[in-house]
Amino acid sequence: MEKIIGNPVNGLIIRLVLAGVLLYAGAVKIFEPHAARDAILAYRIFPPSFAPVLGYALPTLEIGLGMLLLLGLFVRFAGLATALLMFGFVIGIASVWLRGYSIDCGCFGGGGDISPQGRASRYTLEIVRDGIFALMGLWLYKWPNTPLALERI
Amino acid sequence: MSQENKSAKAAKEAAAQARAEAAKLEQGRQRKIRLIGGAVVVLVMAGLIAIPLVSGKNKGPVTNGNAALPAGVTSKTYGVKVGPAWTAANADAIPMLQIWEDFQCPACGQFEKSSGSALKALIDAGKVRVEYRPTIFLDSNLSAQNTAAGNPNSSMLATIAFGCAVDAGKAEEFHAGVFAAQPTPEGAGYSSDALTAIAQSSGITGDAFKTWNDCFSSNKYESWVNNSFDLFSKEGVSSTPTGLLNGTELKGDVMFDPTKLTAAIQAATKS
Repeated sequence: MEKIIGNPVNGLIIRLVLAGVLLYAGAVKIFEPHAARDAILAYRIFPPSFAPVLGYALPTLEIGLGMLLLLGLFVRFAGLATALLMFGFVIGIASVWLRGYSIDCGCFGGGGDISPQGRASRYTLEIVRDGIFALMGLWLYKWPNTPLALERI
Repeated sequence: MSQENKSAKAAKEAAAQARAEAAKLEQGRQRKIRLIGGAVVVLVMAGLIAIPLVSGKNKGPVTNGNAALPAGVTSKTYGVKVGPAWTAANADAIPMLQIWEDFQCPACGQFEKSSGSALKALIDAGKVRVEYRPTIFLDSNLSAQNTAAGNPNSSMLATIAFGCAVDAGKAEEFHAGVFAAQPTPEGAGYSSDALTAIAQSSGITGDAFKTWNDCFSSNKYESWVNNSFDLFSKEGVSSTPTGLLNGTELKGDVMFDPTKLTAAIQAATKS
């Protein structure tokens, strides 16, 4: 069982998929800090004065974690950090949903309030997607040893 | 104790020592890789933070105290007040609804479509003091699409045109006309010709149209729009449309549901 589930090739695929997702999400946001700020504001979770800082910090963090996973460095740490980040996104989206707002999650650029049409299915999809990413991060935390990585554990 | 045993023991020890040395070497190599790789990642992250700060893309608009303002607009909010309730004897008892909108925002178009007519009825009946507060944050978000469509700074242009229509006394008509003509897909933007046509269909004709056209083509209210946009950022408005009923933000499901919106406004009326 351990051999199938902890198979290093699975780990490699997970590592590269997460790296791609994080690098893409970070790249589209970092060049539009205003949009990222507005996307964060739309969640109405952080005080407005935090949003501009987070608008830079979040994409930078995503790119940093994406690079670590791509290179295969500090995989255990990067996997755990990614899982926590994705879990945070899940909580954020769920909280927006519960409070009755209708927003674009701004996960890959964009963001802000949008029409409530199709809200339930959209939020569900985003939560499931980020939940899967979180599980992938936890996988790397449990089995960080993957092929084609710079580090050997 | 034979000679053979002794040499076997020595060989064993030597092999163990070699293994330990190899492990040590590998450990050192791993440490070096982590150190260099970690430093590279940190440097790239620092560079990413520095680029937008240096390029000045994060700079917002600056309030211009000498900005020309459309009729009835004050430097307190830079908003456009519509309807008879503002000048009623008991104006203070009538609920005030401030609406932050960007003419290019699809959700604002959706809001106008779903709640616009219910709101208009309340405005006309003097039951609510509505203030439209323009913002143009989508000009930067949609700059690529706007430019590709040949309509750069579309929100700015539409809002200047709106200010000129306020002077002509056609604020509500023009406001509704712009949202009714909102282009799809988002980002196609408004052309000068389209805005001119909306002004005409709003009932701005004859001399009034000449005045409107001069006002519009000279970008008379550009500073006013920037000042309002500046307040949008300063007040930390999260997105558009944002409705503030007597200063309290309305939830999305209330904003977009004409029945709930009407009920909320009625509930806020002081008797």
